Amino acid sequence: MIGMLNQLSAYFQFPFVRYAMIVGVLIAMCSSLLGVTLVLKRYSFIGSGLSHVAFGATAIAAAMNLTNNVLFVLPVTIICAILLLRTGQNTKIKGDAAIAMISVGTLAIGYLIMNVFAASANLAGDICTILFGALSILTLTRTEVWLSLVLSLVVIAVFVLFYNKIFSVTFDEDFAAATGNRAKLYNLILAVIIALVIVLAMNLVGALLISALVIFPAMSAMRVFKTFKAVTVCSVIVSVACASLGMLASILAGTPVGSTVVAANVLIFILFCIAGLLTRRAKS
Amino acid sequence: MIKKYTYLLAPLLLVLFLAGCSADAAATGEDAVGAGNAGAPAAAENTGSTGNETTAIAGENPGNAGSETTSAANVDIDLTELSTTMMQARFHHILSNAEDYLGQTIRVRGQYHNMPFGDEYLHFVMIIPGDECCRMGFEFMRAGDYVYPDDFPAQYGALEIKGVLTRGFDGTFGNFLYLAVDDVFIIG
Amino acid sequence: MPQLSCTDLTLGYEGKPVISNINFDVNAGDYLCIVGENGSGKSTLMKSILRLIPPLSGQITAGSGLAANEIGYMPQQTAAQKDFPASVREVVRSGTLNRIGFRPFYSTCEKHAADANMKRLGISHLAGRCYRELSGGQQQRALLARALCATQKILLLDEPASGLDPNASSEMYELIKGLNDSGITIIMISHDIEASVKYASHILHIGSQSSLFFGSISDYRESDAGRIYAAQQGGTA
Repeated sequence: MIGMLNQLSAYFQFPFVRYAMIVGVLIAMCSSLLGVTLVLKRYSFIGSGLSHVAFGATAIAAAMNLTNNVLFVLPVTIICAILLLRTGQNTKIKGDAAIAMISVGTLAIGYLIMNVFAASANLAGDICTILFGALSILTLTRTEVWLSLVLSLVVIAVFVLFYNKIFSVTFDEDFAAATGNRAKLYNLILAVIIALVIVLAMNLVGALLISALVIFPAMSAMRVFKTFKAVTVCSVIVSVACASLGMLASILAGTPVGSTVVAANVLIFILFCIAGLLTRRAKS
Repeated sequence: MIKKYTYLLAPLLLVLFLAGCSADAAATGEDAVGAGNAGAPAAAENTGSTGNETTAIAGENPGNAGSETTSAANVDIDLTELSTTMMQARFHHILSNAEDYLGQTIRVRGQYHNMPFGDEYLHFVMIIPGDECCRMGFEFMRAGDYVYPDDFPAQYGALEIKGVLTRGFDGTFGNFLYLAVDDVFIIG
Repeated sequence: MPQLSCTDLTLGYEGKPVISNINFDVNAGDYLCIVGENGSGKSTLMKSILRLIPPLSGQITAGSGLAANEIGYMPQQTAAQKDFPASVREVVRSGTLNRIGFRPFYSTCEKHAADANMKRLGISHLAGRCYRELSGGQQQRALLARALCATQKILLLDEPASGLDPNASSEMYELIKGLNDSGITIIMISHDIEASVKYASHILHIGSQSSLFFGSISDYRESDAGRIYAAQQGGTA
């Protein structure tokens, strides 16, 4: 144990480890906040769908040899988020089919583009990095850290300031719209910050595992807590704990970062399920 | 009023704290690298000469008949003591910020690969993680009379080397990085 | 000047009309029940009044005293809502959202309004309870309290007693009548012809393609539509 702590403090001498922890915690906070809303709106798979769009956009940016691909990936992801979240009940293509089509379509086209316009020497490595996160969280530059900091702050601020409105459109969008609220505007804002979070979170866990960061903390919190506020706060705490412990564990044990963070989330979810069962049994 | 805004203040404070930490992180990081660099300006001047492929560092007797591993002495960056994840991250940092690391002695354990190049062979030590997709490696060169294949491991054999990060120039590849190796231990 | 009037309304989806030639007026303090068979378009009409669905043709006019954020609505519950982790207090307070504009948080004023409405409907003791753990009747009361938070003037209710047992149903209707007596206009969709005739002041009866009847209760009892429908339901008109 002391040996592990010594080794950890040695590792923390490296700047990239500190950057990773900082950005990882922020990403965990943002994705768990959004996760509560998405899970309750029954849009859990939008994380996956949008991350595949971001993958496709990254592929196009790489083929066009853009130096900072975030400037391209972010707007494209935001536009797709708005389109996906607007397909409500009254459209020809229902929500889940739309997500599935866009998700798998962009994944395939992205991979195709990366192969045809092979812009980098290590194609398999790059694709692996984007899909699974691999080392991206541990290889951030200072610019990327500042960008992540600013985006995270924006997401958190928007969530706190629009908290009551987000609750309203999550619980009952029809009521919100009928009683004279700007439900469409709030949905739009929600779509934009979801896109922001997805693009950020790709750095931590990669495109394939983002859904886990979004869904698991919210689901864990809902096993035990009963009010929206309690669920939101618990979700954030769980997510930050899993992300930090997961990152530390992967650094010490040499396991891939993204999968370890998700594994931590799964473990905590199981524990919360058990806790929920026990509390319910105690009550009845 | 304040109670309501604590929900905004709390994350804001956290973010500012983390921002402060990252500014510190950058500062100390640069210092650490700078300190390592300051120790070897002389060595750096000797290397990187244009047109000359192999710039040997005079020093310890290469080869290590009889020892268990490469000597841990005089190592600036020891990649063998890190976990796989940290090793890869450190490796990536070295490759991305090579200027800061030139002239430092690096110790690394990995898989030996070679590649034919005209009449000669190029030698590499590769780090290949479990999922095989994010492999990275250094080219290395040994000074002196060393013959391939006798004095080198089998293709894909395990290898540990210690060498100085050097920049070389070649007509075909342009500027490239390699480890000027003074200590090699063939594990398998 | 009626609080709400609909003129020559035709409603439908994707260009296909579901109901046409709807004409009616609602004055302040009225209690209008919208009745008709399943699928006749009652919910569509209510959603059009609430501007959730645009009409295919015709006009919906709100009187000068009625703004968009002065309408209360009690929709039917969705399955997702029945399982929602929220306290009753959080649900009811969300009804005051149309007053807070750009402000991020509820002020004491809104919190008091929510508490008052919970007390009015007898669910103050449930304020901290989780919404999904309540009985059907209690959940409907919470939703009614929420609707009341959004308005002082007019309430639109979509089958407020659906899924409730007869006791809870009649309690709900009594509550709504009480609200109407205190001056709130009620527009309610109901499948319960007996309760509608008992409590309402006006009836809008929608048939398969168009309005069959609009008028006061006494006129309805005399009309063909009223007699036929009552006979079908087995109740007395």
